[in-house]
Amino acid sequence: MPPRKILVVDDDTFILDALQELLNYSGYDVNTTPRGDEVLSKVEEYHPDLILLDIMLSGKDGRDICKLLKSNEQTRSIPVIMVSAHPSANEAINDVGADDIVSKPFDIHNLLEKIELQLSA
Amino acid sequence: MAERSPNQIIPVEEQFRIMADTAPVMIWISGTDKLCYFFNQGWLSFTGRTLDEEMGNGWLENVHPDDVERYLNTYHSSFETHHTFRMEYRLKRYDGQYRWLLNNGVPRYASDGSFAGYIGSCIDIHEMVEAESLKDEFINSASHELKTPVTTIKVYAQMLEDFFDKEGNEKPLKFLKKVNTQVVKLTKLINNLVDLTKIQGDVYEYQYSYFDFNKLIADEVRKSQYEAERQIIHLDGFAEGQVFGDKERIRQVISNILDNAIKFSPNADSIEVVVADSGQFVEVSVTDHGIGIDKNQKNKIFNRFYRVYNRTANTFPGLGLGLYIASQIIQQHGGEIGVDSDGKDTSFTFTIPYRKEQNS
Repeated sequence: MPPRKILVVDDDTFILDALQELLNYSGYDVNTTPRGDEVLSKVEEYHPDLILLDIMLSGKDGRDICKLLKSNEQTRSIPVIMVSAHPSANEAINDVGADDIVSKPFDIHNLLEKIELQLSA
Repeated sequence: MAERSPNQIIPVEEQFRIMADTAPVMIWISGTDKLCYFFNQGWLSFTGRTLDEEMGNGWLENVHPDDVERYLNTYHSSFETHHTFRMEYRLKRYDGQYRWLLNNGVPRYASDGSFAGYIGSCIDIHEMVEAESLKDEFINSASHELKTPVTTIKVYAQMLEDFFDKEGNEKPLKFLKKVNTQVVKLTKLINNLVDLTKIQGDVYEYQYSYFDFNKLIADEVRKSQYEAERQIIHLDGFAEGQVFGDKERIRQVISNILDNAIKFSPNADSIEVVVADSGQFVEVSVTDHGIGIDKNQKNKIFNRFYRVYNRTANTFPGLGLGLYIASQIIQQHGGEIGVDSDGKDTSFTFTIPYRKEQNS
């Protein structure tokens, strides 16, 4: 089976690099973008199996992007894990349809567990 | 012959009026009908209106529309119980600008002891309120900026830990564990900063649900044990049934109190955590055998930015936020938090009701 594909969206390139290394190391195929307005086109060309989406993107709210993804027939079924800078931001995902959430700074084992859980669902 | 004192010349009422009009505060007086019938010169100069315009409920016209209902609710409910009240609200100044005022209302009683209405004083705290919100904004953005590098550090440090663990390379593994412990500490400090601005006032939304309290406290004890270099943390007792509350916030309370117990008892060998059931409440006490807390510090330690000091060992870092945040969370859940210390052993105790009345 080819590796599962994960799209990572975060406006901090250091975090993007770190996540790319981590996810590659853990056996995933990874594509990244620091730009919120690129997410939809990236999804269209890359067809990710899962999206890691930061909430606070410069100039764009990750929750709005999630809403868009979840209201579109084509992209609705792709699991979205939101990444938040708030210590307990569960409230942030309830009404945008995100599948899970992790808080920065996350524990990598916890993050990988959540990703596996979504991919096997 | 001694001169006659001035109060024999000026009638009491006139004296009061002079005092009221020269005092650098705004004063209002209301009767038992809740209507205002006196405003001092300070008030009238502030609003730029006449006494006639302000009389009765006239003054309400200049209260900020968003604050009217809150003001009246506080005012009326205090009236029913004859309680002193203290609140902040915005009032329009003569130049059209709404200014934040701090208002103190105190019940008045006639000479026969019967309730006569209220007397209140207001001071302009606008600059203070603005500075406060500027400070909150700053803390918020600063803590977000701090999060980003910490996130990256943690990812790489944990990955390295993984590498060396697989290799069985003990020495770097030991170092990385220390790095990770410090990252956890840093994270908690940053989270406490974020919370500081959110938790005061009604900004923070608590997420209530039923959760397994015993599992939560066992988790936290295990995590704290990892951070304790010396002390063994003993956990005893259990809660009956599920607790209805904000799980992550309660977790934070336990974690903050355990962190303190570890921090303030560097030479002790044990910390005791006891969970007990007291009917409507689950009660948790955390006892350490450390530096102790003086009597005169006991009441202050739940204050914002307060840090315990000790003459002999003045080396305890911190921001003075952990207990403040813990006490705010416990209060919000309808529980109580307190501390007892005999100068050596210190016990923090808090309670959480199994089920909180849904009134807030």
